[in-house]
Amino acid sequence: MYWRFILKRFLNALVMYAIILIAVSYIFNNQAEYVVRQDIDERLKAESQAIMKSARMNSEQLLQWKEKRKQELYHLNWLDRPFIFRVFYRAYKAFTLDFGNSMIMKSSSGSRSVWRIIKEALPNTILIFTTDFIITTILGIIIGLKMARKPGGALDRGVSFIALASNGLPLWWLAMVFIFFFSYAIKLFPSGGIYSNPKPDGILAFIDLLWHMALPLLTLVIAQIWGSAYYIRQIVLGTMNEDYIMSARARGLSERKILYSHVLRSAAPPIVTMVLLGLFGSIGGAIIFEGIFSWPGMGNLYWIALQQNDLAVVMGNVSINIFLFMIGLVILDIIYGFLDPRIKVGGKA
Amino acid sequence: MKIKELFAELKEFFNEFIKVRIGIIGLVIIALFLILLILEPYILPYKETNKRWRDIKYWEDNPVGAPPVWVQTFSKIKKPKTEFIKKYEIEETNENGLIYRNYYFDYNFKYSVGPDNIIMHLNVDGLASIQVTLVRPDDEEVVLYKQTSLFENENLRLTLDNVESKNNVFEFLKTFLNEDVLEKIDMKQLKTFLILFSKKDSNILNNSIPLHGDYKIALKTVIKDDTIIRDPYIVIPGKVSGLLGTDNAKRDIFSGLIAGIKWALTIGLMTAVISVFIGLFWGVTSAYFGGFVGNLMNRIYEFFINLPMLPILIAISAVFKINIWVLILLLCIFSWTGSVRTIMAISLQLKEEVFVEASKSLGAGHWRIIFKHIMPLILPLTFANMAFAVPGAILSEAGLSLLGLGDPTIVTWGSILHDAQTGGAFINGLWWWIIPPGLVMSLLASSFVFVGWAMDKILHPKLRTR
Repeated sequence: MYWRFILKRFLNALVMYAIILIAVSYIFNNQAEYVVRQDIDERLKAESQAIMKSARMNSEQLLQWKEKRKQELYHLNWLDRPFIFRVFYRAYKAFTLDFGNSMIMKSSSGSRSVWRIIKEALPNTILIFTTDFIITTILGIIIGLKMARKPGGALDRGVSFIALASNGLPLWWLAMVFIFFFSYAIKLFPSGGIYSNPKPDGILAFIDLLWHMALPLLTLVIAQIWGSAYYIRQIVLGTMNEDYIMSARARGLSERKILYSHVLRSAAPPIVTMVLLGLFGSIGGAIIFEGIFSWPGMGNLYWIALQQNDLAVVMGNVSINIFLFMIGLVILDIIYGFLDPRIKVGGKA
Repeated sequence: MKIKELFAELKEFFNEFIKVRIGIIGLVIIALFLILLILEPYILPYKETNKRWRDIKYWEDNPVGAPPVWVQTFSKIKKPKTEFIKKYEIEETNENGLIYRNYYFDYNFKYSVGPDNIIMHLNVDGLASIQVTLVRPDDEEVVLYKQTSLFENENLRLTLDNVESKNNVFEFLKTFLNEDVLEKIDMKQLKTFLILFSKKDSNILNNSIPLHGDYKIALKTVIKDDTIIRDPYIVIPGKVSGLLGTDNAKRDIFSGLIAGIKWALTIGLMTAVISVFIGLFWGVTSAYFGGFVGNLMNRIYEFFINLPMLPILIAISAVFKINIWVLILLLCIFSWTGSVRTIMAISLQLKEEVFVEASKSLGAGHWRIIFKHIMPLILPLTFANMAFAVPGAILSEAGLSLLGLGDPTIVTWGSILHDAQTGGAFINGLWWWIIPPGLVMSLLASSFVFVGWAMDKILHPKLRTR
């Protein structure tokens, strides 16, 4: 029965993923095509001029060559097929996770495979955001529990206020302020990048990485910790109102015991949701945030690919992004089923 | 009758509202921004900011990257601030059919260092000989500019830090310095205006002492009867400028911030109201009809919440140079989903109520029930959602502008930050270019969060904690 629930949920996600990919493919194809055509025209011009200079062909041959080359390039970009075909074909390719080769960008090892390019960026994004989520969640739980023990106290009110205010605080602006202060005013951390140039070897590379990671990490943690503490406080206080907590109190259990073994147990699902949703949602990388720190992750890759009009990379990036997010939702539902058996939709009690 | 009821309800709501202190803080901040918005025409130091923000000519008289005036409140060194002198006295004599007309501008100098430059503006039509001199408190007079020609209704902008004034300053130095000091002077290194505003002293080149007092900048003209000279005025670009300093393109940042208020509010409020109304309609309709229609609407809703907003928004605005109204539309398309879930839950309950049954039996159509009976009941509950939707819209627009994808015809806080990021605010240490725009942005956005939170607390009392 539980398996039927998982299967249903999974199929549901797949259908949604397909529909979203078609929509995204439509949007990007629509936009990028015009620019790609222009690019091809320019490229042809440049190439034919080079041939004219070397005078290897007469004008008729050149014309023929040009036509052939144009066909070739159009074929490579599927421009010789109808628009609707391209939309569905690209969506289908992305659906099967086959992103093909990029026309413009290269990975640092020189490969044109979109997979390779993404594989270089993805770990960087995962590295920084996972570290951030671990730190934020642990600190959030600690502060949130402290807040929940004395609702209405100074700590509770202070953190709640900051948490609310931080909703209106743009992360990238905080990043700018931190860069200004830590990198330019007191020159403690580098202003961007992931490694120094040239990259040091061995253990020094790791230290260099930490040094580069410190500032973006600090920004993320400072911006997010209040919200996560407040969220955990809300969940914990919500459970504290339940009858079984009252009964636990009546039985004379210590407040500490109630908090850690009764409240936290039933508060776990929403906390797990918060962490996982945030984590899977962040895999696309915060485009602006990574851009400001020149952190070579998915967000930065997306922005660069977009500026260079590299449709293959953009498509690959976005579909990986959505794919992981939807997988995350599925995993979440499955975990939920374990943590809270009532949620199993298809299951029978 | 109805209005009275509404009024009473509003009063009750407000009485509840003022109990939540944080909501009051939010309201006060929003009110302050609204006041600034209304007063914009009066408090804007540079009146044409909205039209000519990206026009280099409009800002040419300002200093480059000057800090705010108040920075030196507690410092001992007082630097001159940017000043506009429009008041003058006229002295006029007639001789041999020529008019000798002198305009005197008063400048009270009380700073530790002289300004870098003085700029004279005037409009001349006809034959004229123009001379600008500086009369110091110690009655020394130095000629800064001289020109005679036939002007055809020309707007002149005379920069008084020029070769001529430099040479005249050298002549001025000759009157009190001895030969061997004079010989060592490197004309390229000579700081004209530093000397003009310093005491006559043998040490003037290395360690000048500022000469305080009333200076007169004299515009001496010799003109014919039919020559017209219109509105002469003087700009003294200071070393500190305005309430929030200037940026690398000499723009006054305070003006930019004030001009940006209306756009932030427009984007935030319009997006919030429109998208919450769409969400309200969607939630109520899909809950009311249920079945196939409800299912379909639910699927569409699910599709929209799974769309990655920022990547698509960035892609669209990178290819098409979209303007602010299109951007608001796009933001609405992506953000109407925020309130649907709660609205659906409430309307699922409401549609089973007796009054719906009653109006059905009276022959009311589906849409009449939806628009007349259910939606007005839920509408007040969405006010909190509206307030919560504002900051998202403001910050999204600012993020796009930061990437340089905003509307290039208007001044927004995000675009100021974009200029700061690309214009070298970091390297040059121009903190007044980075911090204030973000600060006002988060202040405005946060205040809407506060208000939304307070409303939420009143409208959904069961979420209250002990």
